[in-house]
Amino acid sequence: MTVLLSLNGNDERNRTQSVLKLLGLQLHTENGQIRLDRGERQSQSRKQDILDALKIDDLGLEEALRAGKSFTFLIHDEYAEIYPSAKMWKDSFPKQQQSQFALTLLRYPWMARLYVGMSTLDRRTLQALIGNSGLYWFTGRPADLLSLYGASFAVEGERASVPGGRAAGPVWSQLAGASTDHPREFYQALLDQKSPSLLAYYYALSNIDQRHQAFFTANLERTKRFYTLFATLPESQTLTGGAVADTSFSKLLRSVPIDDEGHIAFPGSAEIWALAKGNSFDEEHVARISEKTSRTAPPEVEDEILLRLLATRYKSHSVTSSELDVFLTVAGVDAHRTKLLDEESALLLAQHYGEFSPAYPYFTDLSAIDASGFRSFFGLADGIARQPLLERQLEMGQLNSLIEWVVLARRQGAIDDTEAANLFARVCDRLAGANDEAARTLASIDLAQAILKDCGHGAVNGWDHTLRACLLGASAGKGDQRGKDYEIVLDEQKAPSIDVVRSIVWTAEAALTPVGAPHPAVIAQDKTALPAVLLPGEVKVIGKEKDAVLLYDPAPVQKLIDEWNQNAGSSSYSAATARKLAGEILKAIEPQVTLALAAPVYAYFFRSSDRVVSGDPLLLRKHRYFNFVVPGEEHSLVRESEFIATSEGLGSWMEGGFSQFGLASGFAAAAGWKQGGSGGSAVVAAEIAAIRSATWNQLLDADLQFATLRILAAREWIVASAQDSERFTSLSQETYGLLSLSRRADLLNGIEERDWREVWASITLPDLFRLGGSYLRRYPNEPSPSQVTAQLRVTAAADHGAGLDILGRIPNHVLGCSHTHLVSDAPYEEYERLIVPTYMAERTAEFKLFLAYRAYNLGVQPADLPEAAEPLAAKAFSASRMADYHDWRSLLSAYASISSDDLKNALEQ
Amino acid sequence: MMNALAWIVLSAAAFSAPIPASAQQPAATLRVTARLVEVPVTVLDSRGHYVDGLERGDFQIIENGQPQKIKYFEDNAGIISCAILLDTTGSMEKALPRLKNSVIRFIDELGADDSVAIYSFSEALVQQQKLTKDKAAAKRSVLRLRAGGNTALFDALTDVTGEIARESGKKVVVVFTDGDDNASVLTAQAAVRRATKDGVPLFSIAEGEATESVRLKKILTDISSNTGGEMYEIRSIKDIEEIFSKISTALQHIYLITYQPPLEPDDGKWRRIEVLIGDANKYRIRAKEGYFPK
Repeated sequence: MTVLLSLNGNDERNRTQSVLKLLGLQLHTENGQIRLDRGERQSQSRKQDILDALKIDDLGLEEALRAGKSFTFLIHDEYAEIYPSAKMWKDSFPKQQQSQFALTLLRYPWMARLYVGMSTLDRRTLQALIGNSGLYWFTGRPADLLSLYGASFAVEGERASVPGGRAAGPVWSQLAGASTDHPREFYQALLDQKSPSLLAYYYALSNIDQRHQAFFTANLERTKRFYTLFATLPESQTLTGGAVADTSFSKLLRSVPIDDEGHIAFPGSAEIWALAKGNSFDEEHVARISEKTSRTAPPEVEDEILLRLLATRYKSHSVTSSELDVFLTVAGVDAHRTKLLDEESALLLAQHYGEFSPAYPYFTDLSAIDASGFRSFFGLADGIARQPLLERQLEMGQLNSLIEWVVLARRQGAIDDTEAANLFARVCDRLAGANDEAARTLASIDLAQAILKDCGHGAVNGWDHTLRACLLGASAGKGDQRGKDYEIVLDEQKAPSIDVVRSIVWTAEAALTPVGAPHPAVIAQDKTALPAVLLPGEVKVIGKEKDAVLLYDPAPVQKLIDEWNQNAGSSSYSAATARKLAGEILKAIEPQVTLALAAPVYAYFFRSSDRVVSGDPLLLRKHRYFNFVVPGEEHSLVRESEFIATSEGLGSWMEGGFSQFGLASGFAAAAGWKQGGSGGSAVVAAEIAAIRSATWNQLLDADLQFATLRILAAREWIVASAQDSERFTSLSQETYGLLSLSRRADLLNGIEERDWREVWASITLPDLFRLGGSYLRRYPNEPSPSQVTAQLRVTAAADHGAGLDILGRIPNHVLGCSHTHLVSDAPYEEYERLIVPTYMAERTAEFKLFLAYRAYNLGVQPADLPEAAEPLAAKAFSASRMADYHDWRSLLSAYASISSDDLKNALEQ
Repeated sequence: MMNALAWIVLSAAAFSAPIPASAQQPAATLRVTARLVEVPVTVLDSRGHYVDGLERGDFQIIENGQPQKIKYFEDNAGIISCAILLDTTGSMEKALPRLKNSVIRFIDELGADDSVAIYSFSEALVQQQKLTKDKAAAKRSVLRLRAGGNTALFDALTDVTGEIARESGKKVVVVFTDGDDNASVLTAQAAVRRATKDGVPLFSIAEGEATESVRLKKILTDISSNTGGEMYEIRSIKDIEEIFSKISTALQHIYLITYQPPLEPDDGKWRRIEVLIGDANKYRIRAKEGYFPK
């Protein structure tokens, strides 16, 4: 419909004024000139929303009327398609008014619920489910169940597509009491159960990856066993459409470690977990284990152990956990190791889970730590817990910083697994032996020296330089962008130089040598070498919060240094005074040492453009390694890294250790990022963390090529399957667990119907990457390969792609680590209903893969990607239109929208 | 023209535009930075009327007690870059229509060569319109604004002052808010410090709940006075237009003085600036009070 507005003639003027009134606008004439006022009453301002809705340019309208011209705008009128057809609804419900379908749905809410339920089914599945019997059967409870679980209904050929694939058909037929060969009867049987638990179980299994689907549907007994337990859990009765919390059971389905033979890989041995009881992991019990232990167990024993772990719950520090949580966490550590955990190590980790599990991500990086290393760590932490609060804060700072140095050096490849494990043990042992401030100062400096020595970059240019090379790679000098930014973060946070504190410590230490020590040197440094950040005068801060920040005031140690220099420079120099002052300096400088150790970790994960870095020079000094402010919380010494956002008091701060600092700092950095939709900060934070935690300098052109070829090969496979039945069958098998059953049905049906738009809409770029991996496994040889697949095989045979994990996300919830992986995971849909946004955020932090694909096609070198990654991710978030944090489709569309031109522009900048 | 003996001392702050020239020593780092310091100045007579037509020689700049040589001088006729930061949180629903109309008239009153940028904020800052001379585009972006969400005022202020400070020449920030901050990750002090460091004159307008918060009013007053701007309170929605009109007038009377202070160690300490004009009894000067070197 076209609406014409004009002031020519009374009739048109009156009509125009009526239309303007409907739009919340008023026409005025002022000094002979026409003016269009936007009404300021609430009723008028609401009407002005119509201007946006109809894309009416009100400024253009005003100009046209002022110039005596007419103005037209269009109101588009479109029909909405009724799914699956208006006829079906009319035939099924002839008594209901059908002339205006939307009004009918408003009048009969049960019909609206049914419509929602039907909308979850693709046409083929819907046809198979309904046949010629109409919709009536589905009204009421089946409709409600469909709206919740319908996304797991899919028909493949003539059969129901079920979790576990065709091999699992008999299992599901038995459980449902109807054959999967007859989809209508099968699905109606699932919908018709007295309890919704079987359908909920079916749904839960449909959204996990292929390996886990195969495990849980391996035979009827196993599927039944886990179903029997599931039916007793509250989530089995869930009938609300809202978000739900993640549960131990869903973690079990997703994350239980399964080896290539389809067995559970028990960390340590199966027997340890068989004997585990209520967080005791009693050592006497374990001692009774036969020496002939095994990491695997017969299937029925596997099931029994898992079910018992799941059923055993206990409370520790007000958190309820099940033994399964312990098992999965230890399994996550085990999965990262070349040399698997021995029994003692597995047991130690299980025993200390309650208190120390937030530190376990360290162990996924330092994967050669042995039992004695674990013992040292737990022993040290127990010792620190006995210190006064503020000493605890400093020592936890030193411990976490030094371990994180080792972790980051290991990731960078500056040290190997064994060196990393040895350094870790050395850090724990040396700090455990340091009983006062001066001893901790000396220990920290010694340990820093040991780590830098192993890094092997030499210390010619000083420790600060060596550490930067160790963490960022030898090429990251002050000259390149990353190196520069690292320095700016240190500068913004006014971090003391490690060389400066080392120099002071060594000069003072020299005076403590036995009698006969040489005349001590003057400590050469100007007053700004140990920078101070003053507390804002206007802010009232009291108690421990204030004390903890004031600890870092360099004035006391500066005063001692002045005294030292007076003595050292005096003709009446006193060795006794020097010794006394040396002890005092070593004590007083401990906070500066702690700052100097922690600051490089901040410089690694933060960027100078982060609002919390550039706007708050106190951020580093506010770090709480544990919560010493809230009474009772101080007992939890080892805490997860967390960003606490506030504009009150001293403002936001970081809390906990550094084991997941990448993820936590992602939240802090996300504060300045703009989003086009309502995705929330968790999504941005997970992506920032994935970008910043990547060791980009290890990424090779061959990695980009390998990733791209896998994506292209998967595309070719899909296209070929339209012509080749064998390819189609293999594709249908390999997409179980890769895609949700409904997306898989869309893909396969789309191929059969040559509906390529539907095909490509059903599979994401990361899905294609994984499917490309399946292709390599499935077709190791091919008589007449395409150019893409031939090149893919050459690349794979040359063992390229070692750096692919750099392009991954941080699968903290799945593998318990804080570094990047390109792991297979459950389809996105598994995370859609989880109430905690971090799960979906972690699952969808896949921007780097999109970037790599775009970069390789454009011939961009890997070395150029790190600087482009964040600006382009920011652009994608700005362009995204996420409805909420579950809306992974919109997010991935925004990632895919980054064009070659965008990449070129980012590189030019 | 001016009586050189009758200097008055007034507080001023400056914006530092660093020209890096760092030097390092092995044992300790001594960093010096050469910079240009910009000082926007408004002069009023004893009856509060703006005084135009002053010249370079009429002003004297003193930093930390030391007279400085004025390197560049721009009279009140120069073009201006204006960033408008508007609160679009949920509580603004009622005031937003009047605010939109007032801002549109404010934009109409800017000069043809003046530039304007439009930002809105709730939990996040959104740049609705980049700095542009296209007034129609700026007005359209204002008309698109919708109310909703919490208030991250301090974060928004910090970001906008940082962004507009990168522009050369005269620039101002106009911020309108109706509520106290409840969603920022930075503190009020961080916002004050950043705005003061950036040295862009900030004109703040408080409405609704914002006028009832003693803390917020003090923060806005501090930022405005530190930067040479002004803080206004709106008691009735009807006042919005009048306040914007006052700011519009003020923008037409800003001088810009630029000087280069001597090289000094970069100790991050506050540098106090004084702007002096002859005949202390005749004039009131509105300018910034000093700056933190970067």
